Amino acid sequence: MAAAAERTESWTPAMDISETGEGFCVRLDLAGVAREDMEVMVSEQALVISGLRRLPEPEGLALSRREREYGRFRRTVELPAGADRGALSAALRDGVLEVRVGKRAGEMPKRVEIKAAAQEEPPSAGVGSSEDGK
Amino acid sequence: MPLRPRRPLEAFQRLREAADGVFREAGELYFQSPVSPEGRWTPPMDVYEGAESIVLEMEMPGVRREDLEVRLSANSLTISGQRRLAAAGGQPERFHRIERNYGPFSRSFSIGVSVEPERAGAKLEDGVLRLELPKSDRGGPQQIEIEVAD
Repeated sequence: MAAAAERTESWTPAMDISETGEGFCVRLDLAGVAREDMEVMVSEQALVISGLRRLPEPEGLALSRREREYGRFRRTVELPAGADRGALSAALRDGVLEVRVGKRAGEMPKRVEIKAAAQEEPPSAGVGSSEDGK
Repeated sequence: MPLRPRRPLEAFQRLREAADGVFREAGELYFQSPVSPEGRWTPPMDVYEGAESIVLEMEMPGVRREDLEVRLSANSLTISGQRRLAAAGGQPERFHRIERNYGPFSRSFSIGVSVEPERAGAKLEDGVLRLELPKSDRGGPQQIEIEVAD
């Protein structure tokens, strides 16, 4: 899963991408971003997470020190071939946005049944069989 | 003319204090980096000052209340805790990319004004710790630990 940070945006939230047997998980640090100020979009090849952290303007308080970043953000995650765009979910908890993408059944590792080797029936007479020219 | 001790760092330090406002971080004159050599990380914060209080907002997304500790005296503050690696529903995870910080963090400050630790409030909401420290004229009590509310 490849990811890109757009430099035109004013800040870039930290992001982790992981994979389990069932799917992919993208987590972003979005402390203090309101749920209604974030958006998760999915296209054919990519997941785009964007939004806005609003600059607080507390009344009667003067800013003394600023380390936090505000404004718009956008992160793009390329979806791998096995991702199932139909199996997407997103949840926000304690300032962490977690987006889960399932894997298509066809891409899940499958167990191959191992059969005991059976006595093969000789193939019925066919064109070009050497026995024809006896 | 009275003799004055020569302190070459004094001007620099005063400049630094002005930039930092009422908060001065322990050890920051020497080294400031998002991740310290001990592997600790530094959650970013904003500080506001009003006529009656000092308000601090520190980002700590995904940090649980029980993993967070706030210690305050009249003139010093320490915020420490840790962020744990979240489990993906108990399934083993293979990471393709890790940008987020995990593990312990700690930041200590000296406060340029006196505050009242017993009237201080702490709240952890949407991954942001908000501390409200009421200013005080008198000297405060010994260091106390503040209860963080959800």
